[in-house]
Amino acid sequence: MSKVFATLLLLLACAWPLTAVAEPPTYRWGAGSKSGGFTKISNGLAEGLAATGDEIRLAIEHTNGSCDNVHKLLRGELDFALVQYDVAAEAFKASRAFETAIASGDEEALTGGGFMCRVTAKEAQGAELRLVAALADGAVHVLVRRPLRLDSFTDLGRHSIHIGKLGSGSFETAKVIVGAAGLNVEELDRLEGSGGEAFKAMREDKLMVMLSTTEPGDAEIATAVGTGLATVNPLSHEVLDRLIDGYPYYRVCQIEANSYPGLDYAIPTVCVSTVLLTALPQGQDSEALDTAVTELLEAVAWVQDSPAHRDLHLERRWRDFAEQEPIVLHQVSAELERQEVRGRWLRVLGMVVGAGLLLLALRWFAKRRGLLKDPLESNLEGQLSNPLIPFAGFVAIVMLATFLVWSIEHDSNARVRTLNDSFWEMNMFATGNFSTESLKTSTARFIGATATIAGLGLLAWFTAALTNIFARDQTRLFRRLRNHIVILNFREDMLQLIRMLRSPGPLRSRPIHVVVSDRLPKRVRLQLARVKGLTIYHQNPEVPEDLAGLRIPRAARVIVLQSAPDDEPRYHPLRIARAVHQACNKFGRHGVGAGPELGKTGFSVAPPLQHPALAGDDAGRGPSLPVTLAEATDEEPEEIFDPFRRWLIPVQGRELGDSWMATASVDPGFAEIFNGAVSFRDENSEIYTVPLPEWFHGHPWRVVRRTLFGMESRAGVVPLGLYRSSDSVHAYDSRSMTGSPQGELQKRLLVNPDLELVVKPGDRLVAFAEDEADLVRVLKHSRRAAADVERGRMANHRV
Amino acid sequence: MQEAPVETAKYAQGELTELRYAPMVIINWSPAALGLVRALAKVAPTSPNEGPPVVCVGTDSQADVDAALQGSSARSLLRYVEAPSLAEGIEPLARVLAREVEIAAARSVIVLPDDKAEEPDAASRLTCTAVTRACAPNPVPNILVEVEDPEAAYEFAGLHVATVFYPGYLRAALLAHACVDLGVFQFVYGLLRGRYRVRLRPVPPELRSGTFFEVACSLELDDDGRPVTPIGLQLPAPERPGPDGETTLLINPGPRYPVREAVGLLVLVES
Repeated sequence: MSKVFATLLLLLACAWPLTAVAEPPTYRWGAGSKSGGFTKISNGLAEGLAATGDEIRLAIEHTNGSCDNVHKLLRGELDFALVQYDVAAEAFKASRAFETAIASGDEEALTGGGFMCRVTAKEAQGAELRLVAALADGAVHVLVRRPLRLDSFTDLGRHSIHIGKLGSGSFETAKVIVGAAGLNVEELDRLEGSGGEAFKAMREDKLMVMLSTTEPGDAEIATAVGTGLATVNPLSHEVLDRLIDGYPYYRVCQIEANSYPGLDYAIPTVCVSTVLLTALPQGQDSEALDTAVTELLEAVAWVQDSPAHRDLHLERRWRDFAEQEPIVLHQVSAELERQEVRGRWLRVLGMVVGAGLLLLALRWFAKRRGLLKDPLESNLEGQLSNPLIPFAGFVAIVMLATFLVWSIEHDSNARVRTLNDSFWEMNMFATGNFSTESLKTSTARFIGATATIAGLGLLAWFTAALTNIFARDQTRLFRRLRNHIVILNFREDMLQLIRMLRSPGPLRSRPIHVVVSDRLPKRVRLQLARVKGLTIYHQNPEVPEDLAGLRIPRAARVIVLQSAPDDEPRYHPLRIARAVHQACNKFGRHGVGAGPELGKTGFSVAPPLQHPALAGDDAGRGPSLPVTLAEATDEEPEEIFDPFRRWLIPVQGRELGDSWMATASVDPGFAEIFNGAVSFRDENSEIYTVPLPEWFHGHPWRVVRRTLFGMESRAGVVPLGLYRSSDSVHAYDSRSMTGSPQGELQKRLLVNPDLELVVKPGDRLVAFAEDEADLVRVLKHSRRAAADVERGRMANHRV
Repeated sequence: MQEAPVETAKYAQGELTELRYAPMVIINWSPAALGLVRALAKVAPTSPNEGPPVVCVGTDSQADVDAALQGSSARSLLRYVEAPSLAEGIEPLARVLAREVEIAAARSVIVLPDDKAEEPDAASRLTCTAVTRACAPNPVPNILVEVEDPEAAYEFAGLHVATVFYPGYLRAALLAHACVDLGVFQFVYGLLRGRYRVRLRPVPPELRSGTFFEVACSLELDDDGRPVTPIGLQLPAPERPGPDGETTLLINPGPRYPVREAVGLLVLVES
């Protein structure tokens, strides 16, 4: 028994080391100073690793910053390190320089430390630096003690300055900036020490300038700026250009307005990214390192999404964080980048397909609702003559070129930091004979030149189209095609009609669309062109395709006139009526072959009798046809319009004229009464119909009559009767229509109705009044008067 | 209570006791205007014993007119008189109008535009002069002139023309009202077709001291118990009437307008 127990103990003892072996591997990690930004990022990532599975762990080492980290990485003392990208790129360059130095046998080149952080080619020998990802951004801050302001960076040598801790990336960047200003670090009155000590010295008036590379919004800088101790000085364009040209590992950027208290404008400067570097062990990749990189990237994503770490401003990027990015991506990162690019393209493709499907659906919907123009009308000529097309093209080209140039140059061109800059530099480029001062890269210049030439062409097109419009009889850029009046086959003597429609009586003034023949005299066309809200069309009113653009189904009324006696060609009202019907049919069903029985071609030698063109359509499913008035000829009976009688009212002009003359000849007063009733003149009353307010509903006509006879505004009101509403789609309700179409309308008009007739909702009052507005005003104030009449008290009311 | 068309202000004032019969005359008539004859016969029918209600005067020959009217139902409605052309002067036409047409006794005269004239409205003006001469020394009947150019209306001042008619205006008015309001269009259409008529009624003596509102409230039904609507007043002619002796019709005078001076009350009735 004791043997068995001893064996078990032995097995347990043997298994214990196995458990210890299952501990996650730990990697050496180069951060920065204990309170620095690198360390904060490192701690965040360590937390992220723990949260995402604890597959690997980090042994964070506190160093002096980027220089220390890169040296240790090259010597194999660290597995991963956070490094400023300029330092990292220089180290990478050094590793590449080793092979050249060996080939040339130049010993000095091997051991000389000309690169940043004094990295030598020999030190970088065999080191395969790999970029895991860029994690964060730092901007160069030139902090000057107030009231000092640096206009020229050559003045840096005249003031006490702090440029960072020796060995830090910030220090190395400052060295480069000082160099770009034409100075050497040794020439500076430099204050050594940490950042905290530098701020203290500045407060004590011992330090005038600080160069610091940190993320915009840094707390210590914010305090210094907020208390009025110091201000952020911009980097001059000359320094920026020299910096980018010499060290393309930076990019031009700006410290945005309001990044610091009281900073109301953006400050131009350079930015450099903090990157995560690794070195391949023995120049080869390993599965363990790949796993570690994968885990680290997961941790980066976790930190990026974690609200608790938002203050780190972590943003993982593979590319586009510097003007040039020489360091190769680690293979895991490269694979992830490929996946992301693929996913992005798939998303774009999906969005394009989705947008296309949405557009198709919208088109289908718009066609169903009749909102789209007839395809026959959308010809190239129409598009070319529209000045909005070239203008829209010009705007699109300017916007596109502005965006493209900004995308290309905003990292490297100090003049093109924002889209606004890009827009103005493009203008400078275009108006300055393609001056090379504005745009730096050849691609941007090519885009600028192309956009300028194309833009000039489009502007010429725009000017020509506009000139063409002004040269016409009429200038109409916008047309209202709803509840409008369409007059087809207009002739000169109908100018009276236009005058009446634009006279001051009625409240609502509808847009008028007039189709004229080429024979109409120019002076008449010019008269028409001066009428407000009137659009002239030179089209053949007998061709349905020509009428499609008038959106006749949405019109309030259509008037079909006869041709003038001397007109050639002559258009017949009946043929125009057919065209109106066909145009509505096309609009409603968006197809030339309206009925299924005509097939796709729309042709049939023997069209069936029930085709809408011949028989009229069924009100239940047919297209909406507006109330149409056709001027009937004297020679032909009005019954020729019978196929269209549900929506067309023939007006026998001559017959009605004879009737008028006959009545007026026996009764001269008739002429005066009739003229007064139909003329919209200021000095007389006309007839209007307006809806009766709800307080009259359910009451007898007697109440309405007595109430309104007693009311007065600008003038009195004479109530004549009621006009009953109809919910019918067409002018007439075919089910109840027994005789003529006029009979149907006549049934709705009740003149001198029975005094006990009850007013219904929807009934309109027919009355003589000074104008429509006056009648509406009287009705609006008639409630009390109506109540008085009901109580048997009749009196005058003035409103 | 008797009612009358508006024309008869004298009738309403009691100066006439009954409407006299007299034919209506159309000058510059041609068979193409047969519709006007029918319309006149409809508004003022006569008994067969009194002869045709319309006398048509034109320059077409009697034979041509007879040939055109052969078999027409409207033949019995008119008597045609061939007249000399105005090219021969006003006097020959005036003589025919006086002797053969007896135009001074006509109920009314309609002057149509002369299609053969180069300037039809000027020819109509000369025709009116001929009518005035033919009627002298008797009063000139109501003259209605149809013009081709509405601007020519002013040229008929002083020629005893009661009404100038421009057909284009009528069409425009009808179509405009159809565009603005179908209800109004229907009313105007009814007015034209004779479905609704405006009658002149004497103002009831007991309401002479009242206002238009009081008259309107008391006059709700006619003698047959059908609803009627007072729409205005006919006022007396001015003390110095114009050359055409026009009367004044006041539509919608307002509720407080006194009716004591009104010649008659304009009432809308349904036929």
